[in-house]
Amino acid sequence: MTNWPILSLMIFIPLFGAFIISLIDGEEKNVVKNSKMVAIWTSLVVFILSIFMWITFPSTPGFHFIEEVIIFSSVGIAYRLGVDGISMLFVVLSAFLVPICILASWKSIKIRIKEYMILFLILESLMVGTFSSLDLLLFYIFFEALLIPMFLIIGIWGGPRRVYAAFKFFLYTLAGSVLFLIAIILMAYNSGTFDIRELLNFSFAHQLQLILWPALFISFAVKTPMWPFHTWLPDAHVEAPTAGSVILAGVLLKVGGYGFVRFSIPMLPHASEFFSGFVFVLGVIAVIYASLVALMQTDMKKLIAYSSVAHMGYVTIGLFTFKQEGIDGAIIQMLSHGVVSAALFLCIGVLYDRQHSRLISDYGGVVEKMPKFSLIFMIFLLASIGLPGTSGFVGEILVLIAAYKISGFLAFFTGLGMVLGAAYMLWLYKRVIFGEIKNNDIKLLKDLEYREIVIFTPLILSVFWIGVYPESFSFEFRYDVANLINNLNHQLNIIK
Amino acid sequence: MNSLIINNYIFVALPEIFLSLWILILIPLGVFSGGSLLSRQSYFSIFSLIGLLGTLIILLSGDFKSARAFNDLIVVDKLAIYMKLLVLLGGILVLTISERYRSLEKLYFFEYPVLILFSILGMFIMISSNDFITLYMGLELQSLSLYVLAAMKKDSKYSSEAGLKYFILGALASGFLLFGVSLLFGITGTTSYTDLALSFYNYNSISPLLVFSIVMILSAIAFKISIAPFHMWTPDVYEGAPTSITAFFAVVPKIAAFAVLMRILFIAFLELAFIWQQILIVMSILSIFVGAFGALLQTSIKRLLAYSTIGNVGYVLLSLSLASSLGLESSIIYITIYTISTLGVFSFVLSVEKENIILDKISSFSGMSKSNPFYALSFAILLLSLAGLPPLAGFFAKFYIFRALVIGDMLWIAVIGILGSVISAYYYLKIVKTMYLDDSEDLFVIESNNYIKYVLGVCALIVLTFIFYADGIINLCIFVSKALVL
Repeated sequence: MTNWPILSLMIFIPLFGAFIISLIDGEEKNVVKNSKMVAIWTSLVVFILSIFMWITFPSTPGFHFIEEVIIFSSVGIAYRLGVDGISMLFVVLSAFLVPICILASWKSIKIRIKEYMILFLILESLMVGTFSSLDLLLFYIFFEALLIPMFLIIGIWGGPRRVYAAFKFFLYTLAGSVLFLIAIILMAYNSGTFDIRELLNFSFAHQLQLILWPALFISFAVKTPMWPFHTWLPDAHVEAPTAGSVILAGVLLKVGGYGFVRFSIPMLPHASEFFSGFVFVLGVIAVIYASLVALMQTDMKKLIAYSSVAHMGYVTIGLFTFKQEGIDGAIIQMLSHGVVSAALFLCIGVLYDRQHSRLISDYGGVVEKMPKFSLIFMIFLLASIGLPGTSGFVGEILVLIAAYKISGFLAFFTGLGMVLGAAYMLWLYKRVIFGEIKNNDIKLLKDLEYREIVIFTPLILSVFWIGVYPESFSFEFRYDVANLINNLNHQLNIIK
Repeated sequence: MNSLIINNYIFVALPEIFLSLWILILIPLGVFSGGSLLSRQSYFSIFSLIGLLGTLIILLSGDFKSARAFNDLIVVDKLAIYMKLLVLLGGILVLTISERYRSLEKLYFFEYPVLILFSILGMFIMISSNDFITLYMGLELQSLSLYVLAAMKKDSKYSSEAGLKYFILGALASGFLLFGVSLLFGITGTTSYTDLALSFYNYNSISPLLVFSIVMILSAIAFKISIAPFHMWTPDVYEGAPTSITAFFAVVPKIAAFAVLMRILFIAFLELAFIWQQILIVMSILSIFVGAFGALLQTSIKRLLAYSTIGNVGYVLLSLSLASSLGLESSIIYITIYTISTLGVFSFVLSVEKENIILDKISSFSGMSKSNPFYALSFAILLLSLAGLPPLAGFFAKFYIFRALVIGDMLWIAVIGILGSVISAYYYLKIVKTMYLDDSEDLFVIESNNYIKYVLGVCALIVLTFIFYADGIINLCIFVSKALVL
């Protein structure tokens, strides 16, 4: 069964589904119903495929499920796909979140539903492609192409300042990533290949690494986003529809972290070591600054957006410690943040669907009318803070241990960020959920309906699963990370 | 040179001879035939299309060996055949999509298709020229037809202005060319590309007179392909000329002029690359930025596309400035993809034209994704391709050029060029935004004919699915570029 081109299937089934939806025609009511049905079933099929891939995933390190078709014979670019333990989990994460997003948009999206579903399926295909590319240029193609559907999702279904936010998102990310294209060309020219497997074992000249690294860094730092490249994120999140925010926080931000762990660190080890202090400084600033800014937000979505910046700060700090704990922790943290931030945006979406406001001051005393929702919101909030037993704890503690091995100061500042994280999250909870009902509309709120519980259940389960039994995840990528670190130390020692 | 001298010159120039005979038949037919203007318009277009298709068949039925004829005045090789194919393709498509516009604007003159044929004939001669004298002949035949075409809408003062402006500046450029060539003749005693190449062999001193003559020649050609700082005429002429002629201007003469430039740079002046390389780099970077910034604030789609052309030719020139075979390949790839996307873009612009209403403003496209989903989607795909977003064709065109630049040790030039492409992405995206993100009260349904719809759809489809058959097209371009042995 493993001979199936399972990754290609996961890329092309959503595209095929999008094509089917585009053919749906007829009465408006039926079009809407059928598009939703095709979209949800397509994404579920992809999710089942991804689970199947996970189950049959061999425990040996290295890339599996490899496919290779030449695209440009003159340059040596090929449609190369394959996943190792790291990328496999991101593929599963993407396939997991898309059906949830489609379900979450079931009622909140009211216009142009057919196009919306098409774009989400295209987005899914591109996300799977990004994480499973084994060719530098193919990676770039998927990476950049993600911008187009996301631009339209923010721009068409977004809030009042959607056009501004969509443009900012698009141009920021595009400007960040074009230098990456030049770096790709330079890397391929110097190594003679676009194949990521070969590039991982290739050592670039020291001088060249110092030129390539900043180009890659800017591109991934904008995506991650790291301070000071984060300013597009709050705008994009606030204006995007709920499901857009979920995908943005859940998957697209992970592309930056994935880029660091797949390209920057293993391919440019000397430069990564050289710049690691710089990354730590940016990471610490991100953690503390974003947490402080989050404290003062009046808009819930913006608050969660800034908390994303802070959480991705831990990720970059963890990655650049070059320690097994740090990288393991960063990957777990990315997966956890993928689930938790997605869930938090969905929670805000639940409130927004009912109240059409995201301002904290419009709420208060929600617990009296929505007890189930309050419980679920609490779970995700605590997971975001990093309560032991939830997914957030595992990543944070590992990153903290690795940071401590580097320097006590780094660990102190990272830990400080975690304390601030607890402060803004709990304060948010207090203001929204508890207190007296000041706003009369709150009295009319209805608790979660069946569809919403269906959406939240898998998210709650994964939060606890990662929190209680992280081994089932880290087992998949541990040896890949160990290999990466061995290679890294080996290359660093050659020069010394 | 691996060319084969054939005694029977006629066969070398058969496509040109056929085309000129066909035109000579069409002119008296046009003058003496009766009937209503409208009926004459359609059958003249059909006759012209038949002429172009006949030329296409003759072009493809020849053997693809390199050959020179008429005392080395003209040359036929893979590059020439390929470029002529692109020119023919452009000509046929422009004639097809301009029918509806001509009926709307009452451009019934039978001269319209005949002049297009004349200019295509001129371009054929340009592409095949192996001597500055032949080049001048072809260039003038082409330009004179284009001047008239620009002023075709007689009752519009903008059209007359466009024609006059184009004529005066074009005549000046031709003067530059002749001046440069005569200086060159004074220095070397020849005007033939191959003889010039021989006389510059191992040439490494810079004589001011030689530099001056090369600058003159390059600026004349830069004018024809609207490279900055010789681009001033482009926005005005694009805006004033009838839209279908603008479509022609944006694509077809550019192909021919680039073919000429390739031959001049890579055959006649190859040994002088140290002189022209820097000139070309400066001009192309300037064009890229003039194109990018000039288009930002445009509200008229035709002016915007004029600046977009200026930017795009900048990229082609940038890759030619490498003076390497890789640069030549990439520029041919770029021209091919540019031709397809631009023809698609103009078929959209032509399809929104309505009777008595000139929908020139970009803002009139707002809400089009709802009222005309097919047109909006195709247009958006073409625009995003021009912006260079993967996985569309335009991305690969740019990728090849940047790759050639990086390999050719011009890393920083590549960085500057790619920043220019980000700026230009903004205005392409703004049109997509207008169609998809903006709402409009007066939605209108495009009433276009099927030809335009097919051309638009096919161009968009080619651009969208380019990645699946890119290898074939790119290998063809590389094969073709081998005609100029570097």
